[in-house]
Amino acid sequence: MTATTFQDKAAACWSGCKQRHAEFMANPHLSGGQKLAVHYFTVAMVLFMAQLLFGLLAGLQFLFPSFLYEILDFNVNRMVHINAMVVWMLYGFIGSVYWFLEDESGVEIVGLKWGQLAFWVLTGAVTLVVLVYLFIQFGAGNDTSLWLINEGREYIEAPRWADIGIVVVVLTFFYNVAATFAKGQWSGIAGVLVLDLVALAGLYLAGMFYVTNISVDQYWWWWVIHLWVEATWEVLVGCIMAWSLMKLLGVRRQIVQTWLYIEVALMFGSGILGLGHHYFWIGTPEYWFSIGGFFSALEPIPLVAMVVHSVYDSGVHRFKNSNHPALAWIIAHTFGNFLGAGVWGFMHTLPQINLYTHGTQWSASHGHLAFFGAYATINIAFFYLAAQQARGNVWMGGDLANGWRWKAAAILLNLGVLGMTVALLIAGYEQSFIERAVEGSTWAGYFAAQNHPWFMQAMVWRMVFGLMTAAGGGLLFWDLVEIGKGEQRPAAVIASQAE
Amino acid sequence: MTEQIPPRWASETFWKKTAIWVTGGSFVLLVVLTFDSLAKISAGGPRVPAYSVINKDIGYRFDKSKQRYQPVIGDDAPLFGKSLSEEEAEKLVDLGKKTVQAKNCMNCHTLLGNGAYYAPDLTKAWLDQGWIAKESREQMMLNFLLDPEKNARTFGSNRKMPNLEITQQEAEGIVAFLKWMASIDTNGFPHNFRALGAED
Amino acid sequence: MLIEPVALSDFFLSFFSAALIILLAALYAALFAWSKIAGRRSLGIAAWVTYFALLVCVALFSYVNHFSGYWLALSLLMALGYGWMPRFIWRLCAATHQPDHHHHQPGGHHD
Ligand code: HEC
Ligand code: HEM
Ligand code: HEM
Ligand SMILES: [Fe+2]
Repeated sequence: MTATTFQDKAAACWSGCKQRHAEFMANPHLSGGQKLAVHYFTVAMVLFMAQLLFGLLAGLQFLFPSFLYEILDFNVNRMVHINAMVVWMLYGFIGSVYWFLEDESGVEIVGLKWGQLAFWVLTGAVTLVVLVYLFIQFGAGNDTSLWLINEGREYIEAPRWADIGIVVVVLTFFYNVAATFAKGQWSGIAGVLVLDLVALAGLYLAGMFYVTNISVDQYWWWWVIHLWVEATWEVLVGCIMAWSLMKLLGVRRQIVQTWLYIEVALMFGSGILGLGHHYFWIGTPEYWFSIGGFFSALEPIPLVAMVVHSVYDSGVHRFKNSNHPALAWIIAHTFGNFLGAGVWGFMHTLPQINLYTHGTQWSASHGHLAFFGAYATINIAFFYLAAQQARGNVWMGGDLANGWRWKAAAILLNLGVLGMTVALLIAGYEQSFIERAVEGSTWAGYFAAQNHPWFMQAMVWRMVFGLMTAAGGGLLFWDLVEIGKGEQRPAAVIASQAE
Repeated sequence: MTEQIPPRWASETFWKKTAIWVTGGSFVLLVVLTFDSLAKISAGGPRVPAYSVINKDIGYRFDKSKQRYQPVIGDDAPLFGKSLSEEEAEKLVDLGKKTVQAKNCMNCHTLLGNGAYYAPDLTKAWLDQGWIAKESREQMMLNFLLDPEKNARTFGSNRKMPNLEITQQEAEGIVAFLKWMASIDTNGFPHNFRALGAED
Repeated sequence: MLIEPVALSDFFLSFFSAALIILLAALYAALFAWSKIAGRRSLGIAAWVTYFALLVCVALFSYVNHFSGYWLALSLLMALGYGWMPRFIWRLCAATHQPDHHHHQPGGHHD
């Protein structure tokens, strides 16, 4: 291709994109905040696909260690895999909040223009960070590398400049949320949401500085990771669910808010000190055995409570619902959160057993099911709600055109992740015996466990189910682009809870 | 009004207050515990030795009274044959820690059991029997970090550590960092680790 | 030492009983709630049987994890807490969902 034809093609592509974007911005079915939300959802889905791709690459390297050796090493693939995950989930959350902000506050978003600018800045920054991860990968052992390339701390590897950028963007988001509620109406949901966002953003600061002392480093690192996923993210999802239950199922506000407070009490009451389950072996004092053990044993309680509540609701109210894919994913969320966080979390949380499971594929087994079950699912549910509204609040009940697609996507994704989780569980179980208990976690002991047939087969099965997951992900992407496009029937009308 | 609906204990305001008190209480407790823990894990504190511990011999042994493994600080054994002041030691360990972050070691290895599971845990890497003997250890570690491909072991797995363009100085820093990390009291993790040169 | 780790031969029992504690707690809670809704005695009995199995699992879990002293409080908490919690949540559900006729628009704002 000559330089000029390339230029022509690029120009055509660019103007095509611009046109599609202009068309989207003229969509009459969405409010300003909802259009911004769809922007976030779109990037979230792209990053989700990237997460799956790099997960596959990393998984393949367990089977074929020379695959991409010294080109895209395991650490690079893994970093992109888990960073893409954290970022797409945060995009999904931000989008969801923008989605209902105007409805909940009763006024238009105060700084929509700023919100849009922040979106483009953040997306540009994320792109740049990923390009640097992939093409520069690492630098020398000095501050410049930590500021410009990566910080080398799991999940929050983003270089310091990007950290600061993220904080600025999040402040814009936070301003929009708080100021919009302040201008319109406050509600219980608004109050919990705003305070939770303060905590979520504040925690990020705990991961933004360098220390030599690795024990202190990991002490604060866990504040970010644990207090995000086991406290502030759960409550954020609680706020999103509270609004959804009200709007979609017509549940009364007072009920929804009471339960949101109950959830906050249970989640924060167990989750905040449950942090102790990460302080058994990093140099911290022994009292964390008792504190971490006790409170993390309480952590499954809110998840069991949700079971009682859903049985109560489905038995007593028999809600109708107008968006089957979204409801299916909300159900997947309830089960996934319960199994991944509640059951898988509790199995390895006490120090008596964590001494042997710590830092093995056991953690990866739990990590996959918990992140997928608790957070991927609920985001996907929201993407379907957005798709329904964007296409003109169309029918998304039974006998949907091409309804096989969302079902197949959901089945492949859920079974795929469950299959990976079980494979990793077997690998971790074997590692806890051979590497941790018998061989004492030495270099040789590590490889004794890696070379064990159970482990090697588990890695094969992880890839099989990983491919299944990726297939489901691809279908999901396609479905979200297409669902409801030719649909003429309006969405089923849901009456408010009649009592 | 006959009876309050819903009853007080199931009302929105009751749970709002409960949520605030529970959250506030847990958080205050966490902050108090954090002050205490940070004091105990500062370098030179009771659980995390000062950086100059790299001037000493470090072991890891089963402690009968505590019923768990425990680091043991022994006689003088200066790293690379040079006894360092506290400041010099901190500077060297700091270079190692920075290199560990800049090269993204934690997305292959675990340190103190946290990180990735593609490569061995490095908590007690300094004490690993893979370095054959105390006399050969320092040089072998440097050689390995400088050229992990040529010095690969892989135990038949063919899973090699890539060359990360580590300089001589950085490698020395990493070894100092690993030696210092091995001296941290990790409450008995990893269990059953038989250290290089541990008699019995 | 504050803990005595699980013995090598008991790893499986520890994982298995831990998983069952949470699963049975949820099953018991669901059966309990369902028996209330359906008003069927058989479901109530099933709930009690599940709760009994839960107690057995708590005992087994405490045994293989060498619970003593402080840690036994955790066993007690699990046994009593998981028994009582579904009842409490149920009562809470019933109480919060009571009809409330005045001044609240369904789904509307109430501040
Ligand atoms: C791409 C993955 C990867 C990265 C990144 C990586 N390592 Fe390794 N490392 C390995 C593998 C695989 C082995 C086992 C090599 C062998 O047996 O030949 C290993 C072995 C080691 C060992 C010897 C094992 C032991 O138990 O003592 C040390 C020490 C080590 N690495 C340190 C580091 C340090 C320090 C860094 C960062 C500067 C690092 N590694 C980055 C994959 C990696
Ligand atoms: C949705 C909620 C949750 C998510 C997303 C989640 C995710 C994770 C992830 C990704 C890790 C691995 C971290 C690493 O890279 O080192 C982890 C570790 C851990 N989680 Fe969770 N988790 C959740 C809830 C829970 C709960 C409820 C419990 C306890 C009952 C729990 C117990 C643990 C423990 C003990 C570890 C440490 C594992 C180790 O020692 O290596 N988690 N979690
Ligand atoms: C295509 C399917 C996938 C494959 C093949 C895959 C593969 C991997 C691999 C190889 C790792 C590194 C584990 C290690 O260090 O040994 C990893 C880590 C991780 N993945 Fe995936 N993954 C996939 C999908 C997902 C999904 C859907 C999620 C969640 C939504 C997820 C969340 C995570 C998390 C949280 C970790 C870090 C775990 C820990 O540190 O304990 N992955 N994945
Ligand atoms: Fe945690």
